Amino acid sequence: MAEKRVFDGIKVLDFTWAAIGPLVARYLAMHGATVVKVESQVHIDGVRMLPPYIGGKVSINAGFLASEANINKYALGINLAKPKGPWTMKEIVKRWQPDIITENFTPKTMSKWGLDYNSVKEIKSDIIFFSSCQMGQDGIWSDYPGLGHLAAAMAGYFEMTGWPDRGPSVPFGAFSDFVCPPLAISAVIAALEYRRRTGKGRHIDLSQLEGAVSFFSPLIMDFFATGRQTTRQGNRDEAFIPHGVYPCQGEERWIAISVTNDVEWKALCEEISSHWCCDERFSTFLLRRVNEDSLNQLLSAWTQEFIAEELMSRLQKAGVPAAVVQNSADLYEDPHLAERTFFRIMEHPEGGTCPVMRVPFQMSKTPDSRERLFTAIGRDNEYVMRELAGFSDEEISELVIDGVVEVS
Amino acid sequence: MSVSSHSNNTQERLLGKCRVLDLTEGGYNFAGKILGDLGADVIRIEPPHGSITRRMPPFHEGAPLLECSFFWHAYNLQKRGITLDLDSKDGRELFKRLVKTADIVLESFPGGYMGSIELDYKALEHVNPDIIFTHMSTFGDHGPHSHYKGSDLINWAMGGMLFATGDPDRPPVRVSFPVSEAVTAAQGAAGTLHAWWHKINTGEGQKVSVSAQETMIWVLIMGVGYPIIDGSVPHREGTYRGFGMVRWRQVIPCKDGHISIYIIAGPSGGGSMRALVQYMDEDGMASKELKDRVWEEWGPADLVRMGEVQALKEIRDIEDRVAQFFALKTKQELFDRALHNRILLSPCATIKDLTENPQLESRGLWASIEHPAFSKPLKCPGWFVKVGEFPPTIRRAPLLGEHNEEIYLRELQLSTVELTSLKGVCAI
Repeated sequence: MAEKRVFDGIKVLDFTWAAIGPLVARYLAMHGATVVKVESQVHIDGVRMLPPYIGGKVSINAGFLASEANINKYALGINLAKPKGPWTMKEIVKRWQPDIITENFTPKTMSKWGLDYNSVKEIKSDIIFFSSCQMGQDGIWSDYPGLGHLAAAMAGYFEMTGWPDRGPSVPFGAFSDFVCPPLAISAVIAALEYRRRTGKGRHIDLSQLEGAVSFFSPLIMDFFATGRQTTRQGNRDEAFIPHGVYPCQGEERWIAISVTNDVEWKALCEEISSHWCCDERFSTFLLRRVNEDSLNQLLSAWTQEFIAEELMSRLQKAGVPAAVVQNSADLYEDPHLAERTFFRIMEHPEGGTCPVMRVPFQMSKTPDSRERLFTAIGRDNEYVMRELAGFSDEEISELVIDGVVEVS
Repeated sequence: MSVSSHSNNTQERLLGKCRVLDLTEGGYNFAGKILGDLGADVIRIEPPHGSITRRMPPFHEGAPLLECSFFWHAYNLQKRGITLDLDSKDGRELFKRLVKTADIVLESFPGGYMGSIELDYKALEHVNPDIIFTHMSTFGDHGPHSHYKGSDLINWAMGGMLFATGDPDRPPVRVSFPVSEAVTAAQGAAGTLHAWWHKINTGEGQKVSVSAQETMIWVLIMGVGYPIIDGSVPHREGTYRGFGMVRWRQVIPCKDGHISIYIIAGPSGGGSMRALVQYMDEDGMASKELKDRVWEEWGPADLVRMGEVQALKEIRDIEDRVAQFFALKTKQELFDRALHNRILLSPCATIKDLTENPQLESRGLWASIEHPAFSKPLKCPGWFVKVGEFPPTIRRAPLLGEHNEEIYLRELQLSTVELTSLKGVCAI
């Protein structure tokens, strides 16, 4: 506990749900901030219902993604639909004085409760207010609701994935939900620094669509300038050959090989040490391009004799970029991830265990922490209302009777 | 010289005085661009013959060799540029002088390289005790694989995303653009700013090690829990997606392209499915069963509870009917209706579609950037996140060594004689 945390003393009121929002405040919660996540049993976060369920029992408290995305956060159950719901939240803002508010509803939802940026600014003038939604806070489609995989489709990721002779495919999962959080948290931290310097807050507006699109900037610039469209091309690469995924021994075992220059090609040939490597057809990059299909066939015939893990070690030792195509289970056997303590297996209070990941960066002096899994809605009502926000016992009982503070 | 398409810019920078030395290559270039968007003073340091990122496709055929890469231009906005040879002793000494003036160093060399030229965190900490040193690579800078070679495809493979993406009858497949490095760069910018906030408050610098493998495991997150929780392993399913054995189609063809749709309902998707069924009903294509279903009670958990056989039967039935209906409609028709009635679907956009997206247009996302190598302004997204009323000022990517004099002479106060000599020995 004595370890220094980057966000010690920072207070966050987290209204987010689904995946992208909770993952933004998660960075703060993993680095010492006090993050209170506000939820209601009346409108349950759909992510709580996503399998797999920790411990195997279908339960809104055991959804893996919700537990993972909300690690270390305090759970407050508030029914904002009750007449005194919005008032209660404003009182919490007044009394607790959070530094940051995060939300990812469709625009207008927070203003319906009088909890939008301009309203909160009246109570806490230097609030840093982070909003994320599918389309952004303004623009002609701003009210359209969001889902990560739809944003990924709209941002071009589906058309960019798969094989040229087939229709668009799908990068696994709700892709844009998981590529946007680092963009968001970068802006939030920059806003903290801005507030420190100027005493002023900021409203940060992340469109999940725009965040996902930003990674494609080079392709967009290309299209605007030349009218040329990049689209899906399997595992083919413009600049690297051979470049692909090749079968190994066993069912669904594969190796990815990515030869980025002539030196690596020569090193690969030495490992293969077969007459076809010296073939005139493969002697230059341009010839390898022309004969790429044959090259891939010959390479596949060679790789399938090997165990993927052994071939990776052998090729990497020879200086060839190669990697086992790891499945989810392989990740837990990966010695590199183990040494970096990337996963921590934690016990769920309602039974079962689940893995909790570190953030994908490691700071040498201020590491992240994984302390409490997220479970029941309103689990920490008492602590948040009394200890953090300073409500009296009478006030709390009254709010419980009114159905504003939800007892889980 | 900065050029902006938004001349009415009055936005104050979010980051205060924050100087970044950017030694990265490839998609990792995006980290410095993000910090630049937020207001940092980013100096892109290239070897005297030019960065290898200037050789990354896509290219503009008409542009001079060193200025033809859109990859370079897009990911190096917001930076000034100088040349410096890290392989020469003079270059390294000069780099240390720069480090004295800097807050952050970003690099993406293979593990161990910065140590081999005595410019790793340990060495630079002596030069500037509160420096933040961020390393980005496939495996990060420690652990048994840290000396392994990486690439975008290797990131996908080691992070588990590759295994889970693609058609079951073909090998696993990545997104056909090296997006994993750029996403890792975003995590790198985030990690760097965590360390920056710590430095602001305590005066203490540190090392930040960013792993592309771990970044991709984060992207895989919906598939990560299964092995520990129920012993299963998510396999690639093409355009299908599922929970356990219950799976449904995510992409359905329409008249002129493809539509991504969220067929699963439940509390958050019930209204959407009801609106879709009503739309289908207007063309007489909704069955009584679909019209009568309580979609709020047809979510993922309900389907798992229902059991595999029944759930799949119900899902296949709705998919087939939706597919028959979509075949009669264009992307535009379907999405117009989706906007109007809040149906959760999206056209699968091509890059061209993106550039014509009315929402992005109405937000004013596209920035025009003047560049001397191009007769027409370059256009690309003007921000990754919108803060305040005005978009950030955009500085075009630097020409090779464009700011050598500005930075070496005026800011670092080298003499003209020193600068000339360093040019002569190719240190600059």
